[in-house]
Amino acid sequence: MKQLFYMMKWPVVFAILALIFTACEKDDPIPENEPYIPGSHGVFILNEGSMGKNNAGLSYFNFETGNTTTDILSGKLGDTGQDMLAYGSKLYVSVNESAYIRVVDLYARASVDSIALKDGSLPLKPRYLAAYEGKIYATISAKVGSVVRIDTATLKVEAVTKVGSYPEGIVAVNGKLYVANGGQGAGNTLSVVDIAGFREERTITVGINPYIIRADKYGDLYLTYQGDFGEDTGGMQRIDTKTGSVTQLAISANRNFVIDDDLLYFFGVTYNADYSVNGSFGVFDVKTETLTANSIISDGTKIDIPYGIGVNPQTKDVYIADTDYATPGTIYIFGQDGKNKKSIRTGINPNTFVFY
Amino acid sequence: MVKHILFLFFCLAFVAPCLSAQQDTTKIHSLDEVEVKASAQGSSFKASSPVQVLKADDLAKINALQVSDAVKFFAGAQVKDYGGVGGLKTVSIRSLGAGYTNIAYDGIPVPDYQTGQTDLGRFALENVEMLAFHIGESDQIFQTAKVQSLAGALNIITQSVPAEGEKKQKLKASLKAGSFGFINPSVWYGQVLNKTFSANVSADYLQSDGDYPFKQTIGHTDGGIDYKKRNNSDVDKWNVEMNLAGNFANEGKLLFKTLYYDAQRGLPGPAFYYVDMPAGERLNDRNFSTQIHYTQAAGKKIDFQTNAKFDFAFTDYTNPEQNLKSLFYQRGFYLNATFLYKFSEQLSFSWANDGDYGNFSSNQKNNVSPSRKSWLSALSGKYEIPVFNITAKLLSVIADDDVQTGNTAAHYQHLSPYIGFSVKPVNAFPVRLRAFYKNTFRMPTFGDMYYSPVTNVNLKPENARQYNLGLTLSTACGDIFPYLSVSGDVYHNRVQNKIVAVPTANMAFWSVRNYGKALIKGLDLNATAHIQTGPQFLWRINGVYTFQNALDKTDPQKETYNKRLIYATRHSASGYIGLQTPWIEFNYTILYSGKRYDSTINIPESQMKPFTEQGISFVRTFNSNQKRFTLSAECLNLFDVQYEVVRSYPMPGRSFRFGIKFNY
Repeated sequence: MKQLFYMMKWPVVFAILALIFTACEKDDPIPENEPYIPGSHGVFILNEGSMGKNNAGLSYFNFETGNTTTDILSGKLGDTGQDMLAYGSKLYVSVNESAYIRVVDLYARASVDSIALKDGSLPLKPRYLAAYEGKIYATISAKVGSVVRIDTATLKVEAVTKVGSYPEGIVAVNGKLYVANGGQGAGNTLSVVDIAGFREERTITVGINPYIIRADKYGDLYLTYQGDFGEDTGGMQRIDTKTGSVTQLAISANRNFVIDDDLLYFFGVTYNADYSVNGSFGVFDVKTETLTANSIISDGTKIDIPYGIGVNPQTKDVYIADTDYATPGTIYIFGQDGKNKKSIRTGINPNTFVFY
Repeated sequence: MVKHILFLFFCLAFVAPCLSAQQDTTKIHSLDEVEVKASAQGSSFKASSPVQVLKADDLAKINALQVSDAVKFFAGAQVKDYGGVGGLKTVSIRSLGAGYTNIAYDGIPVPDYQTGQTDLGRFALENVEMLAFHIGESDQIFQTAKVQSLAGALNIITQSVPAEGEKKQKLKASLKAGSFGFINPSVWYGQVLNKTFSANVSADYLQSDGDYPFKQTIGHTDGGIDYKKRNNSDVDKWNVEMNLAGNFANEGKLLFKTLYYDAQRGLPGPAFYYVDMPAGERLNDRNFSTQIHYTQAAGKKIDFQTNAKFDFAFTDYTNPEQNLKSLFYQRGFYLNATFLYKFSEQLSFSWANDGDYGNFSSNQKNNVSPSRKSWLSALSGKYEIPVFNITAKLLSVIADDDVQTGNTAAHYQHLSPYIGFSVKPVNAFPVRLRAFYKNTFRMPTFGDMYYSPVTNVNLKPENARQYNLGLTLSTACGDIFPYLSVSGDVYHNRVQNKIVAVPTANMAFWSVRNYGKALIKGLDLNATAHIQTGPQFLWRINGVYTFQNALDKTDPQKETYNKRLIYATRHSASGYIGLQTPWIEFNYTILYSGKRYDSTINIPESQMKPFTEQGISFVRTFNSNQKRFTLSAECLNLFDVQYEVVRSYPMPGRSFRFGIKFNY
């Protein structure tokens, strides 16, 4: 018995010590989410997170209370929140590395479903999303890229079709999907996919490394391309869907943009010699096809690295996401006078806005 | 603060009674000599900067398979572990970063020009006689200049070839097998060839499927747990080594060493939520290395040693998904000469000169085939009497880079001083006070300069200053405590010109700059005791505790200012207990790591919970004639604790290993 006591004595001492350390170092409490307030309005902000840390999230800024919930999904979104769009009563969020699409009820602001994307046992990693006639389309990032079609009634993957390498942005217009084939920086085409036959029918040559593509209501597509990160700093092109002709626009857009009614709000980035970043912003009128403002900010607010842009369709306030890739981002909200009205803090790498 | 005081009380509680007892100082000294191999790094009790040693006997007690497993038991060492047998493992000294640790194999640093870091998983322990972990500097002044060039060194000392007077032949063979398809046979054979030469050869093969199950906690609250299996984490590696030792009639000593290493492994990547990634990225490392060491006394006053090394490393990285195949080649040439001048019994000086040339190339688009010539010269002096010793060194580093394509004017020149002393204030009282200061100049790696997405050939070296003040105690206390040693050190490290990756407009394009500053303050405690509870019951107990406050001091305007460095713990501790009985040997290990953050901003969402990992093993030894036969059973992570050292790289849960070993 005494033997046994000796055997046990030291492990017990160590275990107690371990407990002391553990007990003294309390967990930092995660801030509680704002309780759900029915009927309130606000903006969903997708936080991409840092790749490999499973820290993508969905922030919600409530207009009525003025409060921001950093992550309404409490850290459960997964790895690399890439894109989201509102369609019907649902919000669809593509989560790239976790290879699925999260479905969130816009009204209840709660997760309702998850759609795993797979080809057999091979996970398919979604990038950007488009919606058309009851279906959601997502580009799939792979050497041989593809687009998946999801039925919004059953929330099941219905079909997959091949496009170019590492596709990025996607838009659906008049029975066609237009897919930007980024090719990990090497691509320079759009795939045109006929929605009815769900097959790529042709390609259109565009700038190097095509990225985000959106449509206005006049049948024109707007595309940013990122260039080769060297001499070619990228830019924006307009594609006429009737003729397929590509027009270069003399504006500084080379990243993301949104189109609200007739106005296209964009930002672009260029590098300085020391690789610090210059952000530029502007507004382009898609009806008159002229640059109406070569700035969005009038009060000198400094954006370190612009990462996302959104426009409140009611107030026309412009939301600009600023990131440093490593710490939580800041959203600067600008009124039509270009003055910073409010700043809110989100998760890491905020990139997309949905106003609801 | 409370826990430090508690810990100190704990230490004092069993130290105090011994101090009152009369000391037999000769007994202490003899123990010191037993404790550390004569050719090694001198006494840890008398050293001016902290040195911790684990010998082959100890290594067997801590369930260590690889060098990285053992290093976790040193105070002030932080092991970055990507999980599994095949995952990358590097060691950082007191949060300075792995690039500040020299990994020396039998005294000569293992070169890595690309990353400045060596994977500790590559060294099998079967062949290791001793690990010596130096923080700061070794008091041994008769050594190479290169091994002194960083903030500390882990010296891996391999089994000596059979010495004169020993048996002419020695054979060791062992086989270990365990969970997740783990199998590890190894064999070692040594032979005395003649009066002058003896040799040994060894071979080690290790295979593991690495497909361990893990539990992934989803989200911060009520996200549930996903039960998954690690994919593509297999490893298949082998190494062979040959040593030839010569003891010449003129007292010259030679050690010639050649090794080859080959490892094939999968890189599992982060464990993303909700998905099982199929096999993908793979890495093949091959390394051929040969080195020679020769020591000769030139008269009574002068000793001379020379070392030379050639190292060739090949890395093949493949990513089938992206159709990527990257090949990297590294060649290192190294030559050293060190003179020791013994002015008197107490005072000696040394002068070490090292020339080092390394080149690197790859099949990458951005390959510039860089090479670096370095000249390291160290002038050292040491004065030693029983109650006091002081060591002072001045290291000069001159380095020039060259590239085959493009421009570089990289030229570095720096003088780094070291000074350290240890004093025994009261002769009858077995306590010594020690202090050291060291300045280290860490050169940017080829990876930082030439192979980052946005290259920067104008990088300056990092500059680190280490300050350390400590107490050591080494004693014996009657028959019950045949050995007792305690040390405590407080330290202060400052890093300037820290090389950090700064983001640009594209997340994939980081530019590497001399941007960061860090301040690390801490306390290391280390206690070892041997307790004899009966004629045949010997306990060996070791515990270490580290408190540190490792803070970013880069830019007071930023939110990250004064926040903890990424993955830096405030509290960490480890310990082991071995009980030797006539029938069986029982060992217990514990590792504790406090709260850490996976980002520089320390927000609650980025915290990583503290964990405690414990393990046990049973060893039974049979002796007959000159043969020894050992059976062992180990249980690692006994309580199946799920934790991560690096975010999204889960560590294995409970696993088992069984071994048989034969010594002749």
